[in-house]
Amino acid sequence: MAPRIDDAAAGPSRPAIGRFSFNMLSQSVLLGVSFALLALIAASSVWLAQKSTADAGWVSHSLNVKNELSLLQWSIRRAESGERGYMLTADPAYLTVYQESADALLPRVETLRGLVADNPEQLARLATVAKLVETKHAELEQIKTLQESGKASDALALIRQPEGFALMRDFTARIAEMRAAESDLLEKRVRQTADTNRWLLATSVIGAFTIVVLAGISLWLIRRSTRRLRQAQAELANTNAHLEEKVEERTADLQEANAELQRFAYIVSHDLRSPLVNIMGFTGELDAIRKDWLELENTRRGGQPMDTRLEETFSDFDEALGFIKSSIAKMDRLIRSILDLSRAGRRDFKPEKLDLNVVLSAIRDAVAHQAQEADATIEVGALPTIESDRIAVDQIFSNLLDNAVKYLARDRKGEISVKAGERGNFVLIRVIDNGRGIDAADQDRVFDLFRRAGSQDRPGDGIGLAHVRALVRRLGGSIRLESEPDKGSTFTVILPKRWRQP
Amino acid sequence: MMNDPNHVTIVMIEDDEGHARLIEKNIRRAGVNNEIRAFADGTSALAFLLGPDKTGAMRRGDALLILLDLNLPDMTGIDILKAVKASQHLKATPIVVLTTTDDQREVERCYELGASVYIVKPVNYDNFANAIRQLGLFFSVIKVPEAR
Repeated sequence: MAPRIDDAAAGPSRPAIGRFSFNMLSQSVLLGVSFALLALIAASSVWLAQKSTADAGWVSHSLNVKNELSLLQWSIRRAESGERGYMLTADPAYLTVYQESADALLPRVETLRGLVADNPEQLARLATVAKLVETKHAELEQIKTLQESGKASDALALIRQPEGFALMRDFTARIAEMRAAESDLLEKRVRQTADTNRWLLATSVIGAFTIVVLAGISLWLIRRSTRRLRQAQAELANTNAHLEEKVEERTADLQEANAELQRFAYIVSHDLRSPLVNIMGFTGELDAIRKDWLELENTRRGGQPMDTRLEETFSDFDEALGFIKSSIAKMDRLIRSILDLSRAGRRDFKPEKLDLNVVLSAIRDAVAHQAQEADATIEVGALPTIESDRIAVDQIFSNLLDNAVKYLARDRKGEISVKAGERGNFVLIRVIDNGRGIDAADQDRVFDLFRRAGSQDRPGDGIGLAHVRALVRRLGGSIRLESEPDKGSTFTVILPKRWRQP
Repeated sequence: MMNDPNHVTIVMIEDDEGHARLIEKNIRRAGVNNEIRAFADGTSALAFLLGPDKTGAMRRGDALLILLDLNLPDMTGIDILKAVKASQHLKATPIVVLTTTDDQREVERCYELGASVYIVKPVNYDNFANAIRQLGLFFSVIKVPEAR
């Protein structure tokens, strides 16, 4: 029956557990993937945002460059026109305009150099422009110096020379070239900024969408696993209920089998006694016949000594009768033991509070005389109080202490002790002796009916321990034996603390 | 003398032939010479005791003493005990229960149902013979009423 119970217990729940672990696994995988995705999206967003800021910086940088180029061009033209105004009018206000603009030329070139330092092409172009500016600046300074020192015609001749004009045309072309290059850059940079911003938007939208989808899947998974958890719980509860049912069923079966065995033992022993009464009775009759015959024989002989052969026959007869009688007596004892055992098995127990200290002390006093004769001491330690049947408990420990005293080793002083322990709802009572011990091969046998271990030098029929085990089991407990030959034995009786309806 | 012991009939209900023979032998050995009617099963014993009308009226005027074994093939001795005690005519008849069972509950039950004596068949021969002889002594001192 045991395997059936196991199947019933494990059968329905095993796949549920399988589904569970799979579910748990898929959940944690999903969670991990979600976190990774979210982290990726967040990192992309941050990176893209930074890139967008940088791009915007580059756009404004290009605008700045273009602005500086215009300012340089404007300054050079203003210096030229300021100088021409001074030459025409000799008004020092024009000279001031010239001087301001001419002085600003070289710093402006330097500012531009700083701005385009990152761009080697523009830097190369700027170098050409710088040379043109320096040449122009030197020419303008020369014209101004000539004008101031009153050599107006020399100054004019210088202006008329075609180099100055070509220089300006060259300068304008270079500046236009630089501006166009910067415009290209600007356009590219504006486009890049727009791209980055589009990516940023896309990433954000994808991120938001992913979060919504993952949250949805998580929600679904959680709901599914909760549903399965509930289902499994219900299955477990059902299985448990089923298990209890099975245990009850099995207990009932066992009790019935036990009761049947008791009835069987009772009927068998009872029915065996009936023919035994006849064997005994007619053996008695044979004895009576022998007596009658002997009397007849004595009367017939009339004082003559008995024939030796007849005497031998009578003696053989007596011997045979003696064996029959002692066998009958033994058989009667055995049958009576089975009867007693089955009767003990049928007796109704009366549970009551039992102070084991009191019970064991009384038993110790009862065997004190035998113990003294065997030169043994019995020590009863602190014992608990349990709820059990007084007579059964008394019989159990009487048998165990009796055995302990009976089977002591002859070569040493007997030491017997009773100690207690606890395990959960059970008490463990140990009866420990330093007696002759029981061979490992016999440790199970000693609990069987009519079986005895070791040298058969003490009277007994092999009933005590069988009786003890039957009683302990009926009280809802069990008994264990640990023993080493020539060292001693420990019988551990495990009994429930509280009475349980058997 | 209302009651001559020799007038009493012993009804022995015992399925085991050997037991029946041993009981008879020891009763005779005790010097009891009353008629012994032996029955090996409950049905024939009840047919004799209660008669065809099952009331026991047929035994009116008989002085009976019943030796009853509890284990019978067709019924238990308890059934016979009950039937006899239920009969208006036989309920005063003494019944000696002779059985191998010494179960305390069984003993109590028999006395409750009206058995006069309960004797356990001992395996020791001397005890057995003794018990039966004392039964003979019992016959000589008790008064057995006639069935009404």
